[in-house]
Amino acid sequence: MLSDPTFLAIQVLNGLQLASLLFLLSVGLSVVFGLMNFINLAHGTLYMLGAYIGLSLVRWTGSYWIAFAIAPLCVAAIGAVFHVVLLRRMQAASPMRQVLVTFGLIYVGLDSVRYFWGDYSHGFDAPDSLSGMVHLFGESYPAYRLFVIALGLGVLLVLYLALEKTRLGAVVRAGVDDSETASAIGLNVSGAFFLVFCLGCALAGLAGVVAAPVISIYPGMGISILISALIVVVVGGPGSLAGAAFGALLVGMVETFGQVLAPSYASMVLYGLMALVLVVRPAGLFPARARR
Amino acid sequence: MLAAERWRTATAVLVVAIAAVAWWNAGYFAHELIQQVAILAIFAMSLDLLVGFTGMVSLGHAAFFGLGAYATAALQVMFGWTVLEAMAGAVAVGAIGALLVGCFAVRLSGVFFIMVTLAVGEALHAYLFKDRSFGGDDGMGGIERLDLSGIGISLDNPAAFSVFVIGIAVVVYVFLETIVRSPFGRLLQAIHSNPARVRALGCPVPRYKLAVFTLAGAVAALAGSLSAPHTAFISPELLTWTTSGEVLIVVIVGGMGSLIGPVVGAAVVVLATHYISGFTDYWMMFMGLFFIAVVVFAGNGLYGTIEAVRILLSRSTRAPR
Amino acid sequence: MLRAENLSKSFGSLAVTDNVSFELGRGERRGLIGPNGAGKTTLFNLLTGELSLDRGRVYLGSRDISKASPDIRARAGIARSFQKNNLFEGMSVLENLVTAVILASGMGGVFWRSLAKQTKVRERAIEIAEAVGVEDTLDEPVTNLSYGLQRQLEVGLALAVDPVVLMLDEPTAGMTPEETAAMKGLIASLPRKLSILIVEHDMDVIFDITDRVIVLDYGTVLFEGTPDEVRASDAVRHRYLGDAR
Repeated sequence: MLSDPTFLAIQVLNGLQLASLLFLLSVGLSVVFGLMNFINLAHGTLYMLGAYIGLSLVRWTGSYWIAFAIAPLCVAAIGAVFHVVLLRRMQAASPMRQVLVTFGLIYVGLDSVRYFWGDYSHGFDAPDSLSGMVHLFGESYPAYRLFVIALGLGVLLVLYLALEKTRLGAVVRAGVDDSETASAIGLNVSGAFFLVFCLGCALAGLAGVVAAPVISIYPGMGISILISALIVVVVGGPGSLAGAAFGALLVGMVETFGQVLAPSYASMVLYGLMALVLVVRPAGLFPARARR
Repeated sequence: MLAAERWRTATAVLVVAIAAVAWWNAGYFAHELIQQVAILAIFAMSLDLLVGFTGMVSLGHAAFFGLGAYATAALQVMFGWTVLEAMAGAVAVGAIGALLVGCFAVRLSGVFFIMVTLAVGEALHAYLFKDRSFGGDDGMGGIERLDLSGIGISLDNPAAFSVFVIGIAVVVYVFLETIVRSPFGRLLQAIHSNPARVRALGCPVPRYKLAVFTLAGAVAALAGSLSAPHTAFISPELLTWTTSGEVLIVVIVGGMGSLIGPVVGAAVVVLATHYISGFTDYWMMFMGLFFIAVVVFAGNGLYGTIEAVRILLSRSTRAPR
Repeated sequence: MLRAENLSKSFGSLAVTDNVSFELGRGERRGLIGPNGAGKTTLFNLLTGELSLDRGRVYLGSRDISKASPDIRARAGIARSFQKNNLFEGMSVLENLVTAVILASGMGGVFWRSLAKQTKVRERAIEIAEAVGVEDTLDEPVTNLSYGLQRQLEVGLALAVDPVVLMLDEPTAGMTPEETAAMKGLIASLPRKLSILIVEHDMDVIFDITDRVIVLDYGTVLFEGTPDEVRASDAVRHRYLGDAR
């Protein structure tokens, strides 16, 4: 199989597409973790909500693009509400308690989605403008998947410029490096954290809407991709854009090729990759905070 | 700590007494619940050792529970071992699995450890789901219970199996409580309290963490090896994150770091789930909300309130200085 | 007893410890002083193993411990106290000391015997409590103790591992004059065969208790000598003690 260049090329594209989705999902998770040492285990739930809300929006308005624009905002709003109501209350408590709260939210999110949308899987189609096929390497490849890849790259570029060129980006970088000092010199680290958190939620929702035409929408979709996103964070290194991008690329490729070559063992290989990285470079491949 | 230990023993005795009363009055279906509680209690105690005493929060403990269940089934059904041999083999498999995972997982702490354990659980689940060697998503059936016909008892009789499982739970409790009260147990608590300090005092922390992780894996596998004959059928569902989450909820709701608390927690969660799923399909939401409430407002769980009462009483009866 | 050879450590391009060498003999009391940022805590952590060396070697007796982790060094006989109280909160004073004694007596692996029945461990813990002056508060949770008593317990934990080299990181940090006097008395009463290295800012403590003093500046050894020699040294006075004397 691997000797066929066309097949190889198609799988590489599939891997890039998955990497793109994983990047959208993990970048928020990773930067929040780097800033506040806090992992939102309900991040996969936000992804799932993005897909379901997108589904309803498509059903009501018939327009994919409206769903594309609005669903992430809805998910960000939900995230913001939970942050203010629940997570801020736990700020004084240990990060562990906050993580446990998000774990409880996975259960709540799961049944909420089942309540409003039922147990069965759904789907919606890509917009007409992207539903065609493109001819590459002698094969037909869905235009929509190329769009997903392009979207991931676009978001990467925008985030890079935002981090490097804007004031908010500077505050975030300072906060990831040393939040105590940054706060001490007057930077609004917690405000930046809130904004970054909401942006991360929006991106997770976006990933959900964007993924829907490619995979089916079902209540458990959040947790399986959460695992992959966590592996991206661990492998790439928490807190850094480069880490999320590179980690997403690595995990996307390993998972895609793993599913094709040895489906039963794909998860094991992924886990093995994470184990290897943790043994050799415990801080990840591109950690934001320099190792002391 | 002496008074705390005495109260824990007293609570344990009370729990056994209540279990005896429940057993005496139980009909067929009640025995099913009693067995479920006892098996979950063993599973939860193993996790409490990890979470409550040593401070290692695992979201993938179902991996070892499932490993125990699958090993029992495979050794019995596929390799023809006797029930007792299969049980012992399952515990060994659980210990070895925990040892292998632990070798590098224990060097991580906090959130990294959580993420890795979650990933391990899911990896094992995905493998058992996809690979047909152990039945895939159809699972495996035909698992038998221990044959005690030599002494005239059939464990297919629900009342007898209840006694069997409760008995093992009691033995596990006594065994783990002994460990907790030993010098080794004190060091586990010290590692939880201040790992940097205990290291500076000469404690090789990763070695201790690996030891307790292996032990927890073995005991979880024991619970799994009881779960297999209990339902006579196993499936990859046993290793999902929901199972890992449920046992963590049991530990925290029951009161982590008390060993007897999770036993009480197991009873509460099993009975509450049973009751709530009687009138709604969405019992997971209630479990999630309840769990969040416990973490936010009563972090020390049910046994935590009993501990608080004890401390209050000891303060008011202490002689003034 | 403790020998440091050419210890060096850099963070990025900043050399925080630069070619530091010294030797601490048996029973010697050595002070380590220097202005803020001189690298005292870094040197301390290089000796105890919490930080890894870029270059150089550390010897305990004849044993090379340069690459050993903190727990191995502790078991070899180097004990340390921390600058900020680093106790086992959630345990009582006695329980803190018992934990340390368990490690020192090597019974950490014993999981079948009840700790409550180990009377020798308890007696040794009480002995140490008396040596550092916390014997009146044995059953108190450590969080209830006054700051001064907590600092004394901090030293007690280090003593409990029966070290040959005791390293004290600013033992009188944040103390009132009475508490400082008590700590001085405590250190002075320690067995003479114990080698002690003390990092301090309080000059009175250093000059009264120590035999020799190392003065650190910008990561290198500026001066080494007896307390009187240090007081008399122009270099030290100019750089550190202030010229107004």
